[in-house]
Amino acid sequence: MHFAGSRKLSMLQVLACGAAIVTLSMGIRHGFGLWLQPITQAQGWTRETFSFALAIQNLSWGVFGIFAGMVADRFGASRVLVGGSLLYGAGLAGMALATSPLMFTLTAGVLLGAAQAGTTYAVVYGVIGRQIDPAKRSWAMGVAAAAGSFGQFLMVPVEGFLISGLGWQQALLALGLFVLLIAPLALGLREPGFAGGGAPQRDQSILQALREAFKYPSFQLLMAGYFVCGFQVVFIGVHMPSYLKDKGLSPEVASYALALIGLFNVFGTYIAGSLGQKLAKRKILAAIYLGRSVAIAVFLWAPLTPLSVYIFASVMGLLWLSTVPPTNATVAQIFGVAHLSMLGGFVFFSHQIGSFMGVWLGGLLYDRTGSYDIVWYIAIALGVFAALVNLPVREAPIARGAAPQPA
Amino acid sequence: MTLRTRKLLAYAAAIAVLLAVFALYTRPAILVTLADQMWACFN
Repeated sequence: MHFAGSRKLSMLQVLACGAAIVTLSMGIRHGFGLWLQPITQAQGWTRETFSFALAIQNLSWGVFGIFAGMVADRFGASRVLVGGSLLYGAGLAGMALATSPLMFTLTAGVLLGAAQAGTTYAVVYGVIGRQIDPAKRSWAMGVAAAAGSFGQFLMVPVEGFLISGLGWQQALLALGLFVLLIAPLALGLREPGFAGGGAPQRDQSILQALREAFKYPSFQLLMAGYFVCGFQVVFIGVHMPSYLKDKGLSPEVASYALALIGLFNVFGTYIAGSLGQKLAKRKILAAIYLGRSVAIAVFLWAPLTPLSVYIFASVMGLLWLSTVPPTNATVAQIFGVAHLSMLGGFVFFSHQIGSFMGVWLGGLLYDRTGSYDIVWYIAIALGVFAALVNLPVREAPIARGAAPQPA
Repeated sequence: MTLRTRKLLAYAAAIAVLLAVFALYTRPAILVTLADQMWACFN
């Protein structure tokens, strides 16, 4: 690995540019649901058309994340970020101007998913991993994750105002221009080791790195845990409003609940990243997953009132994306940083499969049984499972040249 | 200004920004928009 001797970017520069980029990329996508009603009404499409495009977007994000990570590790994150911002702008313009369901799926689904793959955590974390000292790496990943969480929290009301002020189409075109800001911010993440367009010399090829990771039990355990993260977060984010509605609570309660999740998510991601410098990350992850299971169980067991919803939302907010910094910091710690974006992309792919399952199973089992009870129980069981599989993860750097160690 | 003071100021500023954003969610216009939007998904 030949980054160690290279001149490094300043921590302030990496954090400022990285945080601003994920604030934009994570934030803009988080409010897409606000366009459901105006787009389906204006185009005469069903909600299924819109939902299908967003489901494709999530899968596209997961699949392209692997390749975006490979390219970022090989040619530098800044190039991927510039390309990702152009795709993001084109995808938002396409979402505004698409006149057929197919075109909408290709732009709002495939294109925006690819754009997110090139502008979100895995790519930015590669720079953080390479440029920031390991003694501060987990904390720095926590700062970047908190910025992404803040973006999600901020952009929902901002996009609501944009739609009511400009109209849905102009709002998308305005965001399409706004997201191009990622390109100049990416210039702040140009790593000296990638100067001149050449790739830095690496000790392992992509295939060797992949073979090593997939044979290493701890990597498989991290992927299994992240699958659960995606399942729980997206099931709750998508289906909780419907659950509250079924239980007779007002729409305002659901809105405040999502706002509280967003607020506490900022604190949770930052705290998890900071704790990763002091405690074993596998224990932090186990505590997060177990905490989610306990929170869900208490929420289901306690009488449902607006107060119980707000307490649940606050606790879940603290545990929401707090898995992101310790998971990625553990990958960096075990395998080093040469292929960090690609390996982070693979772990994130597992997260996205879990997300897909959370949304899909939530709807399917609700339709079959008339309630969300079974899915809630699955979410509790999966949380316990994820806590258990994270505990045996070995965080120590992998011993190269020797046989992989057991988890 | 000591490092500790700067850190405290940074934390205070971050919390002020977060509370300001949270206040956006309490505005009736955005609350109604969000609530309508969420309920529309399930009607």
